[in-house]
Amino acid sequence: MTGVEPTSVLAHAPGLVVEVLDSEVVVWEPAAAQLHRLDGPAALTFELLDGSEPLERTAEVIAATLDAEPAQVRHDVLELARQLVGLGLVRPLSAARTVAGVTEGDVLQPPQDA
Amino acid sequence: MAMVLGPYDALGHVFTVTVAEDRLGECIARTLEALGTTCQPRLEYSVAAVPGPRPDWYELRRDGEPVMPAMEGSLVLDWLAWAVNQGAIESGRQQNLLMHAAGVARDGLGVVLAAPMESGKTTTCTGLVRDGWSYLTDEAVAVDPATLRVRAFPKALTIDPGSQFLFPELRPELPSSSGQKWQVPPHSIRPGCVTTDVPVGLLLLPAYREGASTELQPLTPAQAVMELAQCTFFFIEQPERNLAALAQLARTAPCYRLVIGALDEAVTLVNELPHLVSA
Repeated sequence: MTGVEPTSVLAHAPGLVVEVLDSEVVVWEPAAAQLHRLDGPAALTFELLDGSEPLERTAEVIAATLDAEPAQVRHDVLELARQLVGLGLVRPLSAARTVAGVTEGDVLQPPQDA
Repeated sequence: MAMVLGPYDALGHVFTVTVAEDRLGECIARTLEALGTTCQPRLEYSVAAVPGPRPDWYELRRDGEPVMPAMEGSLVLDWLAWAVNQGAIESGRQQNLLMHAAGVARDGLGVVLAAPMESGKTTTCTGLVRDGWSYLTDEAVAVDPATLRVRAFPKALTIDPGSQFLFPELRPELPSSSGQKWQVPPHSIRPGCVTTDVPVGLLLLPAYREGASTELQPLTPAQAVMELAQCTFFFIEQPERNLAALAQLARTAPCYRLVIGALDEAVTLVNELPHLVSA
């Protein structure tokens, strides 16, 4: 169970090393010490999962970009997002944080000394 | 009377070799000649005769410590080459992206032939050098991650028994038992063939397949990175640096899988590639 829904907001997992090569992406995932290659719509989806929009909005952008049928793209993006969560490449952000526009990384920053 | 050979530089692994037996010493000197340096040696290999089941029984030591149990003379070169390779990889990986690959060059641009063992790296490399290409290495391509230039490691080429029939003129002078590797100094293939550091112009992934049609199959940059990462020594130790360097290599140099059915066809294909044009 990944708990990924169309309203989920996903972002890249911390610590990833990402290289964009033309229309493909190579990702180093340090926790599993694995390289992943994403191509085509998977690469585009991964790049768009930056914690700023819910999945359903990401699917709309991809459908428009690829001129594809929106319902099918919504389904495919949801499935892909679940796979990416399972691989540890992206993770859901909590609604409260994203509504406030604050990522977990921001929350965890230690206070700056004056 | 022992002779001290060297110093030699294998990707910063700088060493001398002390050997007591003249003929073996001459053979080692010829084999390591292209690694000669003026740098200060940091360690010493020594080869000395020891009592054993045969008259030609030797022990190989590194700074006084045995590298391997004592062995017959015809195996000394193989184990010395092995020990030097290990030292080169240990030394070279600190500052470089280090790939299990052969390297050749033409017109100042390098070709990296990266692949696992038994894929045809050394065979293709030897064929290309014989055909006029310059020699960088047949074992470990060291790429400076800042400049993306290959640092030469012109060790003797290690030709496996299965490929030796392709290069009968390279049979070593030192008697060797059948089924043994050949340690071939690069100058034996073609005098003056060793080159210095060059930028990378082409990435090839050789794959020998008996009976296959020899052909080049283009790879996308991301496919190239995935393949090259598998050939990178200790990738996991500096993944960010290594991935960035591989990605930059794949952006700047085209990459092909070179399916090899026959050596002469492979050499012809690589010769005809139009990519090695200096910018």
